[in-house]
Amino acid sequence: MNDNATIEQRLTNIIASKTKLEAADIHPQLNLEDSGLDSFARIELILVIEEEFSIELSDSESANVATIADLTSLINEKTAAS
Amino acid sequence: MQHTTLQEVLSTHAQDATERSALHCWDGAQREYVPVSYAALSRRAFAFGARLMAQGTDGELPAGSVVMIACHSPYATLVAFYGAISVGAIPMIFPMPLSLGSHEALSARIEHWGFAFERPALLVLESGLVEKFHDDIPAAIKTVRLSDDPAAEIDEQNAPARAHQPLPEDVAFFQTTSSSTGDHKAVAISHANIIANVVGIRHAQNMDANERMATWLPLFHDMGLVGTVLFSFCNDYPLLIMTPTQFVKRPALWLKGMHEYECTIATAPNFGFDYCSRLVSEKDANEMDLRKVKHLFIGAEPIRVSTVHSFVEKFSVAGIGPQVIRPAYGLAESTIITTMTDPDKVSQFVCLDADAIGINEPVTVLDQMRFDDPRMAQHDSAKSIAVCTAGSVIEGMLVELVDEQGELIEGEGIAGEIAITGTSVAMGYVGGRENLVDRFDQGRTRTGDMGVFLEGELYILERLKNVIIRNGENFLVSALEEHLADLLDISHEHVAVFESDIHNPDSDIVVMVERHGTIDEDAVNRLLVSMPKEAFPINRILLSKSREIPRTTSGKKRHFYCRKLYQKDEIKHQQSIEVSPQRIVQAMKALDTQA
Repeated sequence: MNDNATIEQRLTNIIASKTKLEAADIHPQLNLEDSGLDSFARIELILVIEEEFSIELSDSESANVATIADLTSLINEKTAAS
Repeated sequence: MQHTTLQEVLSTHAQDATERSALHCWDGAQREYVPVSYAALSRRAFAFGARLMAQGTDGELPAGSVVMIACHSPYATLVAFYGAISVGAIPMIFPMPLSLGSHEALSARIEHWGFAFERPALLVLESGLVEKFHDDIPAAIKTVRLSDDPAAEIDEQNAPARAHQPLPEDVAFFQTTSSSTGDHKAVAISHANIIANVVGIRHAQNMDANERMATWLPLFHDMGLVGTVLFSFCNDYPLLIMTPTQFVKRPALWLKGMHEYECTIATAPNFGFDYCSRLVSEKDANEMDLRKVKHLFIGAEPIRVSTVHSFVEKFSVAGIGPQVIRPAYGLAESTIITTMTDPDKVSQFVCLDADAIGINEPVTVLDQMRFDDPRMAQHDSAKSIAVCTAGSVIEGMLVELVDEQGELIEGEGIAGEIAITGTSVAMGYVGGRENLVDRFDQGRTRTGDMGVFLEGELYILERLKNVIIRNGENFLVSALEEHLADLLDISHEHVAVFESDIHNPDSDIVVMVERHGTIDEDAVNRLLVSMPKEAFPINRILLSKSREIPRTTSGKKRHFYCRKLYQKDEIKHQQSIEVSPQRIVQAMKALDTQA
């Protein structure tokens, strides 16, 4: 069972490891476009997230998630559907 | 039959009952390629053209109307692209937010090009993107939705919605030439340009009717659109296609597709080959059979000898030999290809004295070797640069070298700026309301690249034009400098952006900022905070005193010399800031505290 808090915690760990940001700086409203990752690194981040949650995100879905909260909802939706 | 326009190619495909060749689109969720025959693709394009026509006044879209395309999926992009062409409209494909760095950057493009012409341009968006952009798209720009699913039910029709036969010299499409923030530059490519380039490539490479291709290149890029997609479409070659994002996530898929479908041709910038060498597993390489591959074209950015060596070494087990690695040179201004290496011989590189490279100066060749030379791995030395051949000029084209005044440089071995004329040279840069195309003077384009001919083959030495090329994408330096200067609240004259080594795609991108008076800490923080939204990865900011940026006597910035000084650690500066996520967050916090 993936509730939003669990997903958010796992996402925070992934983003902290990719960006070297402190976990305290990563919050649900953090915009991924502000996370300090360039476009290439963002794709790598998406790949890690896909592997962590065993999901596949399309280009369109990957581009449309702005914040960590958006990403959490999408992952919840995807994992529930699978 | 020799076609003279893309319209004719579409009509031929639409009437092809055999449906021999197809576009095979990678479906990431299903983990399989979904084929759409070129016949079906053409008929869907005709039907989509009818939808575009319906957007015009009284159901009549004037010929020459511009159609902006913003879709992630190659399939949707191509239905829109061919659909526009089928009704005499001019398509223009935009990079998407994952490439641009942000949605705002795409919105800015839509707003600029949407109103750049006599009539507002139409906008084609993939269904999933419509809501995202709903509030950002000006009301005067009409949008047309398109499904990204090749398997979805879609209308087809057998003939174009407009009985319009373009002339070969008419504009076929607009190709954007740079991905940088705020830059709005594009070239106009005619039908004749496309056909000439396609024929020139095919003849130069002795290709037959049974080639198969595989690509992951973006379609907003000339190498992806013309060099791969239009090339395969015009030649009726099957094409496997995936998105750049899909490739970056799983690079082995590109090569596995080539194995499975027995592809013979693929095209990529240096980055793609390097990425595969590093990230495809030995196990995957061992399981592939790539012996059918005849041409792996490499271009669009400087080619590294170490990349060629690593790629061949890694995939020799799959049957890849050095003879299939085929450097080429071209740019959007020449539709795509200008020179290509000879398919009947192994390509080579030269080691040149780095200190002796300059316009109208003879180069000093210290060594030269073919890609199959066992010494290849040890070529590097601190004093020389290794430059791969770009091959010979294709038919219909003329390459000349000129000095800074535009005077012709004659004789082998003397460096000069590359100037191109010929059948593939684009019509000119896209103008605007007054003049749709600003034509190149006497049909010649000066490339801004410095090159030299050695034994009849062209070698690209330096970049005089102020462009940074990363992962095959061009970023116009002047636009970057203006944008950064705005953030710093200073004149762009005091900002210089340059790559530290154009022959190394992983080298630092450096911003040199002259402190004219003082630059407050907030301005630097604002600049740092803006970095993640940009598509270009800046690695270092150097703050220096005024008048430290090297300039010509007339005051123009000399980026080439910035690079030389940087390499020798001779740029005078007072502060060096490394751009990193931690530093950006630090800047954010500082600004928040102030607020």
